[in-house]
Amino acid sequence: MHPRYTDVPHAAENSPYPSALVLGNGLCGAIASRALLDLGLSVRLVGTSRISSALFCSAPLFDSEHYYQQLLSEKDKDLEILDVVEHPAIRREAPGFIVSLGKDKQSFFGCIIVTSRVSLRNQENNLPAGVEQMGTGVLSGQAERIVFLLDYIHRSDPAVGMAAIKKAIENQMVGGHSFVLFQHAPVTHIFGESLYERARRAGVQFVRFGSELPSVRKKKENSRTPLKFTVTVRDSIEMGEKLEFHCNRVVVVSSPDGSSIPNWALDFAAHDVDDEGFLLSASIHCHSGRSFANGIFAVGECTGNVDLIRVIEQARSTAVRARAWMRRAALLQNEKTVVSSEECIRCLTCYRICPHSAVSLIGMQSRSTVEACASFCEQCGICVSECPRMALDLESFPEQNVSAFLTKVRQTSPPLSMVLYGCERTAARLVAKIELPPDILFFSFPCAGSISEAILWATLASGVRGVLVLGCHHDNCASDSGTDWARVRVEAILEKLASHGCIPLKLKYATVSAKEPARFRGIVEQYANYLRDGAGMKPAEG
Amino acid sequence: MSNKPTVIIGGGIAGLAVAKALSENGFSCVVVEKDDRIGGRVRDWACMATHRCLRCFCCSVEDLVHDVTTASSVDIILGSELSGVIKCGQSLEQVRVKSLASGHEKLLDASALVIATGFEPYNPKEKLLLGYGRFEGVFTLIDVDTFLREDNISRFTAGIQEPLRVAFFQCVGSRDKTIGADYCSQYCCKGALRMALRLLENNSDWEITIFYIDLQIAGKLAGWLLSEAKERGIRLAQGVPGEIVEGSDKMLQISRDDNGSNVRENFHRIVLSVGQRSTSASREIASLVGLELDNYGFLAPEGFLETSRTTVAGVYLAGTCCGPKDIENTLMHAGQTAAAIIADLKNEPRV
Repeated sequence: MHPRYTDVPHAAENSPYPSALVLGNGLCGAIASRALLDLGLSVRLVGTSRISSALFCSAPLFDSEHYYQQLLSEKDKDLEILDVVEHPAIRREAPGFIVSLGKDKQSFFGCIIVTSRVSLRNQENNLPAGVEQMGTGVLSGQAERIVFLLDYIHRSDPAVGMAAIKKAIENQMVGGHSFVLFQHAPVTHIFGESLYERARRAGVQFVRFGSELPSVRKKKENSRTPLKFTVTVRDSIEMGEKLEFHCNRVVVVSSPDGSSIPNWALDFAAHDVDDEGFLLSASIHCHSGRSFANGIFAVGECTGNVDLIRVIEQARSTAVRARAWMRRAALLQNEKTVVSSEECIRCLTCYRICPHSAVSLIGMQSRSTVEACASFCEQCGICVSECPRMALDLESFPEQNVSAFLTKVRQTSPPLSMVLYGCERTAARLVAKIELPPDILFFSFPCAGSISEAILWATLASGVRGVLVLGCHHDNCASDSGTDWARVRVEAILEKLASHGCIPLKLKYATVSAKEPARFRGIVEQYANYLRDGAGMKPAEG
Repeated sequence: MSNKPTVIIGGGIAGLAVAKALSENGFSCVVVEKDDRIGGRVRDWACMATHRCLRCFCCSVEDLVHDVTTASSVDIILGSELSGVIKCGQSLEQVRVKSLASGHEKLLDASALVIATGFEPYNPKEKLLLGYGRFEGVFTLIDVDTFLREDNISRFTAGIQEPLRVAFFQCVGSRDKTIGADYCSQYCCKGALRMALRLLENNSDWEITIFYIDLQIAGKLAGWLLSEAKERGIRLAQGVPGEIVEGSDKMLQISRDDNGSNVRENFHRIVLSVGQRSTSASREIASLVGLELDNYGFLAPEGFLETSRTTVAGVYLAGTCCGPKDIENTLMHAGQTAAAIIADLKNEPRV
C-alpha cells in the first residue's frame, strides 16, 4: 500500500529537512518545539498571544517554572518565534505546505504541529459563587481549610486530580487542613499510589462518595467567619455516614472540555476529532500525535492531554513521527500515485473524501486538473472507487488488475462458490495463514474502501455464487473510513436487490482484524457453506 | 546496513516500535529476541472489537511485525539474549549477545542500546484466598485474553449451559504494599471493561460485574467505554472482595459489604485483573549494564521527565520494563526512546 521508506540509503541524510511549523505558542507549543529542535529540525513557532497553558504535573518535587523557562532560549539558532494577528492559511504543495504568515509572506514547511489551548470544563454552574476551578497556580502559602472536589458531575481528569492531591499535601505542610472528596482516586504513573499514600500520611482527609453528589453551601455575606463554605458529603465507605466540612476554599477538580477547542485548530484537523471533540481521531493509527490528514500533527491539550509528563512523551514521539514523515514526503515528491483522465468533471468528490487530504485542484476553474500529491497520498484507492466518472486510476494498483482477476473468475469452471475481497493490511495477512479451498478465490485490495460498487456488481455478474467483503473493524481502518465505505456499498447493493423482491444474500460484509484468524476462518467457512448449499439462489416471489 | 546500528534487546511491541521509528528516520537497528519469534506477549492477545474497534491496540503488533520484518535496515536475531556490553571510556562501542541454544556469542557494533524486555504478569497463586490454580473457575485477565485469541472460549465456559455469571476483580497484585507493588498497573481498568464488552458481544445473556477500587478512566474513548459498559448492563461495584470460596456446586462465592450489610454472591467464573511486575531478565540486565532499579524492581530511567534515557550513556529503555503501561502508552514511550537516541546521536547515524 504505501511504499517502504525504511530502505533509504545513508546518502539521503545529507539533504536538510524542511522547517516544521508549530501553531500555538503556549506551553504545549514550546514543548513540541523543543522536541523538534532536539531532532535537528528547524522550527517556526507561531501564535497569536502567549497564553499560559493548563498542564498539570503530579510528579513530586518538580519545579515547573524552572522547567518552562529552560525549554526554549535565544541560543536555539534553528528556532524562530513569530507573533501573528490571525491564523495562517495553508495550501498543500509536495512535499509539504505553503503557509501564509501575514501580509504577502509565504513560507514552506515540511509538517505542521497544532497545539491549541483548551479550557477546563466549567462545573461551577450548580455551585455557589466563590467556588474555584483547579488551576496550575500556586497556593497562598498560608494555612487554609480547603475542600478539593473531584468527580463533581463529570469525572475529573487524573492529571488534574493528582495535581490537586499534591496541593492538598502542600497545604497540610503549612499547617492547613485539606479534604479530598472523590468517587475514583486518580493513581496514574508509577508514583500515583505513593502520592495518595503520602497525602494520607500528611493528614489529608479523603472521602469517597457514591452516586449522591456532595453539596456546597455558602454562608451569608455578612458572616464573620472566614470559613464561608460548608460542604456536606455521604461517605460511601462508612455506611453512608453524613460528613460536614467547614472551609474557606472549595476547589473543583475538572477535566478538559473538548468543545472549547478553537475553530482555527479544528480547521486544520476537521475530520479528525474524537467522540469528545478533542483533536486526533480515536483511531489507533493516530497515536503519538498523528492525524489522518497527512503532514499535520497535534500535541498537548488540544488532544485532551493535560498531563505534563504525558505531553512531553507525546511531543517527542510526535516529533519522531513528523521527522520520518518529512523524510518519506521528500522521497516521494516527484512520484505520481493517482492519474486522472479526460473523464474528470472536476466534481471534487475525490478532494472531499480523501482521508489523507492528499488531493488538490491545480490550475484555473475550467482547465484545472485534480492531482493527488504523492507525498500525502497513501494509495488507499478510495478516491478511485468513488469517482462518478471512473476517471482515476492508482499507479500501484491499476484497474487492469481487477479486470484481469474478474476475467479469471469468469473463466473458472466449475463456477466458484465465493470470491473473497479484502485489504492488504488485514484480509491478506489472514488468508496467508490458511489454505483456502479451491472453490474460493481471494483478491487483495490496497484498502477495503477501494472496492467500488461497480467492482462488486461486476463480480456478482461473473458467475460466482457470492462475494464476501472483509474490512477492518470500524475505526480501525488505516485509511479511517475505508472499511465504512465498503459497508455502505454492500448495503446499497443489498438494498437495491431487496427492493426488487429477491433476497439472494449473494453479498456479505464482515469486519475482522489480523488478530482473529480463527474467527476469520469461521466467517469464511460459514458463508461458503451457505453459498454452496444453494441458499443464495432463492428465486423471486410470484 | 550503512551505519552502526542501535541494538534493541527485546522483540516485543516496545522493541519493534523503537526499531520502526528509528528505521523510518534512517537509523539502522538490530532486534535481539530470546524467543523463536518476535511480537512478544501482545501476539498472544486478542482483538477486543465488538461492533467497533475498542482501542485495545493489539493489532498494532501485527502491523509492526510486518513493518519490521520487511524493513531492510532492521536485522533480527532470534533465540538470543544480551550477555555483555563493551565500552570505550564512557562511550558504548559494542554489545555481546549469546545464542540460548548453542551458547555461541556474537559481538555487535552498537551506537546505542535499548532495553525493551517487557513485564511479567503477576501470578496470583500466592494469594491463597483467591483460589487461583485451585478453583477451576478462577482465571487471570491474561488467561482469558489468550483463550479469546485462540477463539477457544470453551476453555473459559467449560461446557456450562446456562448464561454465565462472571466477575472481574481489579487490582490483583497492584496497589498492594504487601507484595511490594504499591502502584497502579495502568492497563487493567480499561482492559477489563473492553474484555467485558467483548464477552457480552458474543454472549449477550451473561451477567458481568466488575469489582474495582478506583476506575482509572482517561484517554480517548475511555469515557465511552464506561458509559457503553453501563448501558450494556455491566455492573460496576466499588470494593474488591478479598476471598473466593468454592461451593460444592463449583460455584464461586464471595461476600461483600453493601451499605453496612454483608451480602453473598455467586459467580460461575471470576477473572483476576493481574498487575504488571518487573522481570528477572530486566534485573539481570540491570547488573550486566550498570542500570539502577526503582523501588519495585523496574529499570529506573533518568528522571520523571526523562523516562527513556538512563544514567548510563548510550543505554535507553522502552516499554514496560521501566514501569507498567498499556499498549498505547508503550507505543508513545517507544517513540520517545527513538527520539532520545536520534537526538543523542546528534541526528546523524554513526558509521
